Amino acid sequence: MKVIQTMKTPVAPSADTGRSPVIQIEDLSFGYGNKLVVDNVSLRIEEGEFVSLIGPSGCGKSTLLSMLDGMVSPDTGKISVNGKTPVPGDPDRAMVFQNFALMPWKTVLENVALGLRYRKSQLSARERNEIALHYLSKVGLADAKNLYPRNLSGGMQQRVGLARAFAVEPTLLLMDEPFGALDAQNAEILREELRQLVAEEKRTIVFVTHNLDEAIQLSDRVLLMSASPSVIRDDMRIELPEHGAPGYVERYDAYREQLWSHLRVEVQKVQSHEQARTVK
Amino acid sequence: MSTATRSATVHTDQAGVKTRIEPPKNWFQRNEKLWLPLAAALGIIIIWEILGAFNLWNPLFFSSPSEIWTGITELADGPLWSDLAVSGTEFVIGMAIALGIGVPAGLFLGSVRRLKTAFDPIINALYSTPILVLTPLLVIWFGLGMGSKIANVAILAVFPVLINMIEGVQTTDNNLIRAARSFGAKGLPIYRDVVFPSIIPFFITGLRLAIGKGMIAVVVGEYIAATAGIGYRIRADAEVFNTPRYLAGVVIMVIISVVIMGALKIFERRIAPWRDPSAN
Repeated sequence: MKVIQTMKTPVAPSADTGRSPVIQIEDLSFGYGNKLVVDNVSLRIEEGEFVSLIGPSGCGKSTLLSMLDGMVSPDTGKISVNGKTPVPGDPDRAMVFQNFALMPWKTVLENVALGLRYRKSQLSARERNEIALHYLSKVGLADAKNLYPRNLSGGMQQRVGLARAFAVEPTLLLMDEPFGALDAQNAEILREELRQLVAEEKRTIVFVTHNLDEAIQLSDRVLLMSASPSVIRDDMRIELPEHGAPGYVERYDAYREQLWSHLRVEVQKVQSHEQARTVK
Repeated sequence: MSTATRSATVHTDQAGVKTRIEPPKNWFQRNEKLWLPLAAALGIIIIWEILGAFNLWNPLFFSSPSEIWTGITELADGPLWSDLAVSGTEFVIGMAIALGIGVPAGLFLGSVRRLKTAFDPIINALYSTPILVLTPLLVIWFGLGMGSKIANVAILAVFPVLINMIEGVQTTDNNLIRAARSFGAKGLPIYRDVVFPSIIPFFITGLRLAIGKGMIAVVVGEYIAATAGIGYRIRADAEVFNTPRYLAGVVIMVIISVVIMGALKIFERRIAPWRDPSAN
């Protein structure tokens, strides 16, 4: 396995650093129909942090990500990204989707250049293609540039998804279970590649996942959400030594155990809710 | 099967890389989809001709291929081309009207959910009604000539186009629309890059059904009341018990529809290359 990139200087989540946070959420609540999903959440994410959002299904973590992308508005509370309320298509963000969301009618290169086309229309088609090809090479798919997505495996499609997101050079990357649709081996390889990419191109990342190990391995910080109406149950900073260094396994296990003991309770809550509903 | 006996060889190049090499396929193996149906059709014609030669039935009831061929040559030397010109004009103008109304109306109804809810039952009721019974009324409105046939085609062909366009807009993958919006697309580019390409298969389906209905509309319209056209000719020959010439008219219709459907397939491959299994 590849070396885990640990944060050199984790930024303290306090306001006295003088820097404004990339993400600031204040007293945010939302729901669907008559169900309150997220209950009064406040949150701050600093520049350069890799933050994983984990929680039982239905806890609103994906919707929270959509809100950060400006697609959904909260019922109450404030959400700001780089100091502004996000609206769809802002140039400072890019999203990676669980189902890849590549346009089947566009070639791999056209797909990677998609965001550039909408956001940087001042660039010529050639310049856009050059940038797209640069990022496509970074994920090792330069040779596949003229293929259509359906000729690629899931792992390759998500590489295109990653290249598309990095190509617009966002300060904030939002990832909605990006490896959730892949088989375990391909997911492992893509995690390694993501780590590599992040090491080369420092970004603030919010990463939604169901996978505890993925969260611990990739992130500087793990936010654990409770069953709905959800609150942030845990806000855990992950500081792991180099992979294989003394103490690594112990630290890793300790993080995992604590997170799992809490997550387990939340998952069981969801299960008993569901049971109660079926019995009714 | 013959493919079971084809033997592949293993070739080892200088670097020691092994490749499996299949013997090249011959013309018959490569073009099965072409010659197998032709052979089947030819077989049926030959058997039909042989049985006909035994005089098992009165030729008035069911002619034989050679007599039908004589009928075709007779028609070709006589009124065939002017009839086809009349029917073709009626068909083309009627289809143009059907597409001109069906495509934009379908896009509009598909995009506005409430409008679709309001009109859906009416559209479906009209679609499943055998509208051909309106032909006498259309003759009263538009006369015995081309006008009533054009109206017939337009009314029959518009519904499959309309229904499939609505369906197409509504089944456009929301994830793709979302991805496009997230990367900065607004308004027209969303239609251009997401909705239109994803509708193409529905449009082609609508067009195929519309062509079938349109041909029925022309022929039956002419059959019921007309002064020229292929449907009129078929009826005129049937009424004087000229069975070979009457069936010759039917065979010509079959050939025309095969040609049109073949052209439609080529058209589909042209406008949607990403759906072509043989592409890259």
